Amino acid sequence: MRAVFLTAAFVVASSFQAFAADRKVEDFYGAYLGHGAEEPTGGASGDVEKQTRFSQVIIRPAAERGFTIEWATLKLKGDEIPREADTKSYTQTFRGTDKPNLFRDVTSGDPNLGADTSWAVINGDTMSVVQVSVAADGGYFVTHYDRTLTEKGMDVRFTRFENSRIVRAVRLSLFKGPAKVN
Amino acid sequence: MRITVALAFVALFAASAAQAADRKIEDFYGRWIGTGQATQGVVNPVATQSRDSEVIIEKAADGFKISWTTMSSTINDASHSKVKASVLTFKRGKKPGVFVDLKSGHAMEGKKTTWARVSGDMLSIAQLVVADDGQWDVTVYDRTLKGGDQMTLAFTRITNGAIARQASLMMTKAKD
Repeated sequence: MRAVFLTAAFVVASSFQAFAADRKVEDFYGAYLGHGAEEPTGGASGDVEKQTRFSQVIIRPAAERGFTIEWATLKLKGDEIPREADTKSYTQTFRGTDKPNLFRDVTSGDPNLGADTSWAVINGDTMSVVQVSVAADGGYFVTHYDRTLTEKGMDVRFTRFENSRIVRAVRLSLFKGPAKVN
Repeated sequence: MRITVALAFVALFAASAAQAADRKIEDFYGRWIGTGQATQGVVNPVATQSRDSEVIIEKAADGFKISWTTMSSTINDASHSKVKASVLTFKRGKKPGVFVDLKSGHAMEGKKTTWARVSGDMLSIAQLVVADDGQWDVTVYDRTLKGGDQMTLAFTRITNGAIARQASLMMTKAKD
């Protein structure tokens, strides 16, 4: 009886562990495309006209157990044709650390010395990419991206903080495309 | 007429410049006592705690020292209270109005990165902590002078990309 009990406990513990295990960075490799919108931030900017955003994200392997993430965003206001200023694209490259789920931007520096600090961490199905930037005058901003794997691709939650206020919050739903990136 | 308009512009410019000038750190020196509430939720904040606090801001060698004690009590249940005391000492940074905590270190190497700045009527103290598992939080204390004897405190804790807690207190300068 005790053996059955122990076996059952082991099975439950194993399945819980599997459920809670962090994804590997390889699980995020791919090209994703989709859209979403800004969310109310609770401040004055929460009253602005809701903007639709289209976004593409490409995540591919890089040296030193790292990865590169490229993302491009196109903002749309109503039926207007987007201007060049409404499109933005970024690239960040991360290298692995002594923690399997923690990565550091290759350009990341010491915030005390005015350098941007950026890292990525994988928890469960979510890869978070954080950047903290402290200006010479002491003002600062933080950007936080949560990219969560879903059945069809990836959900993105983006929040930008400036001097303790949320100035932008965006949610996107992306589909994974067939492109091979590795 | 032209001179009058020119003088008016000069006066307007001077008034605007005076209004925009940053306070000096000395303007914040003193013992401040006050009370307020902490809230959770950004769009629809809910009050969760009452807070009573004492803050002492004073000169230190090449900067300032701030000591504060806060008692936090659960709303409608004062039996659940806790008291927390903290001290930070800042030295002047490279830019006027910017200060760096003497113990400030590299957040990505297990240290706390802490800095302060005076902007307009506000003394803002921010601290970034990144745990070794990549979890992070930024705590910000914005203390804004309202006249000579009053100061508001806006506290914000941002944890892993969300505002986890905010608090707002009104403080009065002690006479002693």
